[in-house]
Amino acid sequence: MRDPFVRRVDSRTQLTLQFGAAWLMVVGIAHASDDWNRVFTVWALGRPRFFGLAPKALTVTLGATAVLYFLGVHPRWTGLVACGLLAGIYALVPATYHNNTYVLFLFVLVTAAWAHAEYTLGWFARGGSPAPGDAPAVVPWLVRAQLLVIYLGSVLVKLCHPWWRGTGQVILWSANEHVPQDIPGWWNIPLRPLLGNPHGAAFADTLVTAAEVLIPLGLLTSRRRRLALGAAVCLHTFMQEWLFPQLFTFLMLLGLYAYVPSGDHGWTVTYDPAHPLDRTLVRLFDRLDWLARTRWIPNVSARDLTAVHTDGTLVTGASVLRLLAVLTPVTLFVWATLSLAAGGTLTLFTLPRPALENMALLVVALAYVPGVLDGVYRAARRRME
Amino acid sequence: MRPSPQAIFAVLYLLVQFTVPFARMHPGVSPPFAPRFSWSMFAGPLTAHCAQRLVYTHRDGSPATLPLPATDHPAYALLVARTPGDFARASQVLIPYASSDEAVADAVGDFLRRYRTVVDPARNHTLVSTLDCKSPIAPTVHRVLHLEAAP
Repeated sequence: MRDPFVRRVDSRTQLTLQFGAAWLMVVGIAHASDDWNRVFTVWALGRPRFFGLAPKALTVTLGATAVLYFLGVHPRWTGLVACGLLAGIYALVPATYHNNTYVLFLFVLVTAAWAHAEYTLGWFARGGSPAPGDAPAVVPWLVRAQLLVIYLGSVLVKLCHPWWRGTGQVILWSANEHVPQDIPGWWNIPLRPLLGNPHGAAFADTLVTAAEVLIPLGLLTSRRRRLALGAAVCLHTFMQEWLFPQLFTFLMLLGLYAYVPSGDHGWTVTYDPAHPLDRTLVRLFDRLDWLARTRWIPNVSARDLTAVHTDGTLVTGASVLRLLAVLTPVTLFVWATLSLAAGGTLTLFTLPRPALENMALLVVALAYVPGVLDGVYRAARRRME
Repeated sequence: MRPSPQAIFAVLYLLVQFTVPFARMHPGVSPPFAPRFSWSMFAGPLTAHCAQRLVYTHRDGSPATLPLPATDHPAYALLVARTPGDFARASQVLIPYASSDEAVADAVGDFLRRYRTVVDPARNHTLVSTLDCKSPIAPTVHRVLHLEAAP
């Protein structure tokens, strides 16, 4: 293996990881601070006044530092200071029990330590233009390694813990007690008959453990990588919509972008430059293509959008829209922002936030029902002709 | 080829990150990854099965009313929780630093001791808490905390 500190690669992945870690820190801290404050308040009772104020002061400072890091103000220093503040909160009050804040700490540490000199918000606003210079491969390399550590660490836990190990106890408890009591989402309604019985729970337990073994193995091999990426997205989406790990979900999905190529223009998309819908889509997706995965070829005789990958994969029509939505990391950031920015107690028309997110994902899932997105796309195309 | 100092740093980074999970382990508690940190959700405590009973009395043993904070204070739910369902919801504020039912019992005891110093600094009352946890697989926990009034 060539030294990732020496080997130079296209730096769009690094820039995207830096943007993602920074933005997820901004919205993630805002989201978590509500829970943290409740923990801090109980923890501070009966302790000297300093202990009551210090964690909250650290959180406010952390939020401000996260914004500076996101804006690209001396990113190396603001990022590292943010890591120090996170560590301070971690040390002062053990409020950051869950792995999500720790993953955030590690991602920010890596992206800040090797902060990219060309990181500006303007670069992203211009759709990843101009092309950045190359950079050492270390940041994507470390993020890739980090993901493997997390998956395999999780498997190790599941093999050690008596409530896992194929017993299904944790899943049984989640389906029958934890989710019905604590998470006002919808997914548990159809899932409970499946996972709320010992056999279903034990099967799901084994399945999740197996997935967490197979996904990292697949990510390591170029032939199975696309399949592993798809499996990882499905796993994290399922967990998110059922158990709402929140920041952890989005950081893991962000990390998966370290496994996809950047700057390869591997997909050639042919469109009709005379068609208003095609022109609009090209303008939009070209701006969102931060990893430079596509090349746009105008063709006046093109009757439909067509995307061809260098490996020969062919996608046409509405499927191109689904493809482009997956290729751009902006989809992830929009989802993360909507999910994390909305407080846990938000309700809309008596619908609690988790149920709203379930509903929104259900609408998105309709795009994968054969004929649905295609019908909408054809209708829009006809109307704009 | 000798690895560069930066490559050594990267390997150290990957190794050092394990120190946090290991540093947060409770010695003597099994299984090894249960305590206070995990890369897996819910490897920690399932505290849904705890129930607590609080008795607050005057020095002479007659019943007294435990002063409660405002209902929107996070400690309120913990103080009025009686059933496992109540306790599971209320104990969310303790879970971050509890790794098992034993640790939850420790955290509740620690919280009650501190709360008592706030509401009854002169120790004019006796506070008795009885906590029972019957989580699946984990050993049953029965903890009685007796905070006696000052003589």
